Amino acid sequence: MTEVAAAPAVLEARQLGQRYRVRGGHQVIFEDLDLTIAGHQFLSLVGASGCGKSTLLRLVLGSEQPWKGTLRSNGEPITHPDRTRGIVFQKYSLFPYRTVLENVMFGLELAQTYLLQKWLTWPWYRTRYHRRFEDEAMAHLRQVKLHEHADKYPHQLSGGMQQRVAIAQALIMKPRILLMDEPFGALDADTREALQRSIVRAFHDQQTTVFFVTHDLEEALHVGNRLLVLAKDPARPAAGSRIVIDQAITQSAPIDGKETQELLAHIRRAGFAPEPEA
Amino acid sequence: MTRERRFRSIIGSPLAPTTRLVLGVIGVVVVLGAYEYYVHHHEQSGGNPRFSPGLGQLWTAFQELTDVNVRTQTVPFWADTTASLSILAKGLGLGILISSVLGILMGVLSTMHAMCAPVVTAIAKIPPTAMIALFMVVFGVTGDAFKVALIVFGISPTLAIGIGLVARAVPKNTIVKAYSLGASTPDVIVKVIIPQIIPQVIEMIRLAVGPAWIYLIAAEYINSSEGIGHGIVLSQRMVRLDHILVYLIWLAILGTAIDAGFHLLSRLVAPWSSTRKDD
Repeated sequence: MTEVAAAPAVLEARQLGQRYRVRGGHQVIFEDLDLTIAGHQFLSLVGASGCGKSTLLRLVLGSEQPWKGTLRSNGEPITHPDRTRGIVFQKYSLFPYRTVLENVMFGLELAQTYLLQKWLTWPWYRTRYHRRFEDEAMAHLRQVKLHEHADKYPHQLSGGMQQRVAIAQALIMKPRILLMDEPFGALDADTREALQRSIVRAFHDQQTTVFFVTHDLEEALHVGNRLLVLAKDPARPAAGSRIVIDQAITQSAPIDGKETQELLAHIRRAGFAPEPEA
Repeated sequence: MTRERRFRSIIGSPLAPTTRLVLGVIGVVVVLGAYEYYVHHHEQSGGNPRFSPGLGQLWTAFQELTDVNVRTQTVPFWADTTASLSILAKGLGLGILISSVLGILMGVLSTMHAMCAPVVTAIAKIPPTAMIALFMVVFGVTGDAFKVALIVFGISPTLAIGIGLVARAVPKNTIVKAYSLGASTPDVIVKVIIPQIIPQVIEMIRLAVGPAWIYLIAAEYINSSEGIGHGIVLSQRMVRLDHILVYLIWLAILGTAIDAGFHLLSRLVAPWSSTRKDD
């Protein structure tokens, strides 16, 4: 009987810990965190402000180094941000000096051409690469219905449109994981809803795993198919946060359904106002 | 019956462009008028007319200066201007080059910053006018080298530190985002950091032009055979106040033209920038 080797997990955290230097020592954000993301999952990470969810996202992204433990993606340790992990931030998501189309093309240029190739060999570059990049970027912009704004600069777009461009910019590179750090937090309710629907659609179209951080509980329940709640034990605040809930949920379930309301109540008890452990 | 409130101007009220232009012209006219009044008063009260050249005399002086020198068959005024501008250009060019490289290295690499910043900051505190003696000894008094060196050492430390500061102030999210799209560190420097600092760097260079002029004129005063500073010193020795004033007005015009050039450059290179306010 042959043993089938398990494919390496998209994300694997073992005994992960992070702390920051504060006056008089260190503050532990979390310790001994274990997390495995196996396949095509949409993981919603919720928690109160300051619980460490953005910290965890930055560790996964690679822009911060952990204090303890290991963090691997596809078997490889995560040391710095790279192409396999895309990111959409809440602010400053786009390059302000490039048009919408150029923003979406940015990753393609990096992947397929060398530095300054555009400047040094423009005539050849234009026919061989530039037109191809433009077509591919336009296709992605059409999917988010922003193709008419391709030649505008980011500051000429609304916040919601900028975030749509940022999502297209990240997804065009087909990352293994798409990280999103409260991406819709600065937007109004209607735009937020529209973008939530669009990111779920994109999740189904591409085989990317999504790691979605938010402080909005209802948003987390709506977009994800797996819910992670990070919370501190109020009886032991210095010990840092733990994962208090990790379960599969129904993506895009109606918010006023019975199941969702019960889940919300459960989460609010366990995650946001947990009872001290006996 | 309600009383209509008179409109009170508050800080920052906008002006129509024509109003702004007319007020600007009035400002210049007022200054010129006040000067003419001073000249008139000075002559009336029996002062030496050499010390109060009126606007008409200034125009005559300008025509004298732009007359061809019979002996050399050149016009010293234009020759001086060209000489000064070319040294200014060389000094600025070299200074910008050195500052950009140093500034970006300091801004991007923390080790470079830790090593270089204290030294560069300290050098920036030395008034370049005090360095004149140093350069005269090192480069010799004749020739352009000492003037160019003075400008370079005068503007580089401050410019380098400024460039380092704005490089470090680039939003970290844009840098991380670039890495997450597959950028290497050289990619990030060329495609993310440099484009975002260009508007501010152009502003800093524009501000460095003023000090560059100061060092240039100072160097030309002290020892030079050509240049605007040299022309001013000659006029001073002949006690021709009218010539001196013409040179000063010419410097104002040149400076304004250079400034306008930078404004245009900023608009061409970085139309997306928000540092351009309506001025």
